[in-house]
Amino acid sequence: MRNNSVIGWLLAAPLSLVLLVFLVAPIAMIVVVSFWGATEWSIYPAFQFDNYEFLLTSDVTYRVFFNTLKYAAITWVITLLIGFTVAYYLAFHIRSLTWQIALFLLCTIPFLTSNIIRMISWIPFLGRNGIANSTLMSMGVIDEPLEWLLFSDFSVILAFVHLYTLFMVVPIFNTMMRIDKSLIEAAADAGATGWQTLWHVIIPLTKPGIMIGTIFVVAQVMGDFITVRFMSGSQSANVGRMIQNDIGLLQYPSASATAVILLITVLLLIGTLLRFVDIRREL
Amino acid sequence: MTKEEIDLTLGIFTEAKKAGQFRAFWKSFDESVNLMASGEVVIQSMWSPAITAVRSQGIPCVYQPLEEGYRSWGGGIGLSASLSGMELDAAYEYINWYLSGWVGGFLMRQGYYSAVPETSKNFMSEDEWGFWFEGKEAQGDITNPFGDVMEKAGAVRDGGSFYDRMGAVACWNAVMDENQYMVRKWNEFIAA
Repeated sequence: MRNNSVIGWLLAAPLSLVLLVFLVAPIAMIVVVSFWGATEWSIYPAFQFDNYEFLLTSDVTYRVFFNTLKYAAITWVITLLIGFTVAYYLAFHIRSLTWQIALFLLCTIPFLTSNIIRMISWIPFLGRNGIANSTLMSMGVIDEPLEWLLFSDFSVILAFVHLYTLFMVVPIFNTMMRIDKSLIEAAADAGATGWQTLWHVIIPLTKPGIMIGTIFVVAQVMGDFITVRFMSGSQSANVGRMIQNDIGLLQYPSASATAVILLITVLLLIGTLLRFVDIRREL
Repeated sequence: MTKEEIDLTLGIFTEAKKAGQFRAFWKSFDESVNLMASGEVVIQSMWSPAITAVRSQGIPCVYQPLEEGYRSWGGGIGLSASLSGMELDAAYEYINWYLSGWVGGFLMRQGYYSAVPETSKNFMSEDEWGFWFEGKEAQGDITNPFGDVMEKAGAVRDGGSFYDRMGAVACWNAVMDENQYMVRKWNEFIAA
């Protein structure tokens, strides 16, 4: 009995140590630095609330957090619709397992390249003299280039959807594959239409996958800075860019304070999401 | 700049941004080159080598000296206080090599000036020195550091000679006393 508990501690120790050193300690450091002060060229240890006071009283902070949430919400809706449809098609319309695996791998091929490359390749496509504009113009659809195609909220969200849809497809596909096919037969036998089966049988059973995909997508979009920077031509702000600007000009304490607030926001968001589905039980 | 000056400047910027003046802001060298080369923007603030990079692609691109003067920036090499013995000697040796002319010649063919222009002269042809430093008409082809032709005979550098250009600097890029305030206002500007 005694021996068992020692083994238990030993088994838990490696992971706990790794998490302690690489996750808890850095976050603790960020929290500590967020109370420090900064000059033009240095940071100095202190315990002051200046950074938080400025952050929480500035309406820029609220606008930027709102913008970040807006990106997350729109990206979530679109990736969910596309991701669910793709997963549904793969899970229920493709009959043979070989084809399912083949098509699933096909979905992952774009992910063999760097995500920065995938994002940046949109720029020449959407640009003022890009392929999209020149095609539309030669077809006579438009007379002059559409400016909003690039360096706009549109291009930012397009890139997000492109980058993160697979993170929705994978978990949803995974849960869909576990659905007992006889449940769907039973629904059909009981006279349910296709839509009713989808709404009352498949969606409730897919919820854990949707939730995991949601967490992936929301967490990535909330923490992003590079997509927003490149695709908006540095003209739009989200929280990550605010932190990046601070760091670029050596304002580490205020960057840390922003990071702490962002962390709390994302944790609250995910905590709320987890209230809807008990992932542990469902898995 | 004082806080009031920062407010005034970014106030003008914000108004222009809302009116759709800006297409994009760049942070890296290649971004500024691509923005200009793709025709995404038609006027922007650029570094000298970025201009030479655009011109080397065969796309005309010129500096337009402003009535108010130039905005300049400079860089130098510093020694760390923790250096001693062999490392210190090596660092000095590196600086001596850096200032001995080859690097200066390379930089000057990109349109920069070296801290010790005289040594760079030994690594540039008379025509190059005349074009880049003295503001004289080019006698033959002027190439960038990689050998690509940028200017033909007869071309003159914008703004003229070293003394004309550096004598007309209106402001220097620097980290300001109100750095923290400036970052906050910049974030506000980006969010606007």
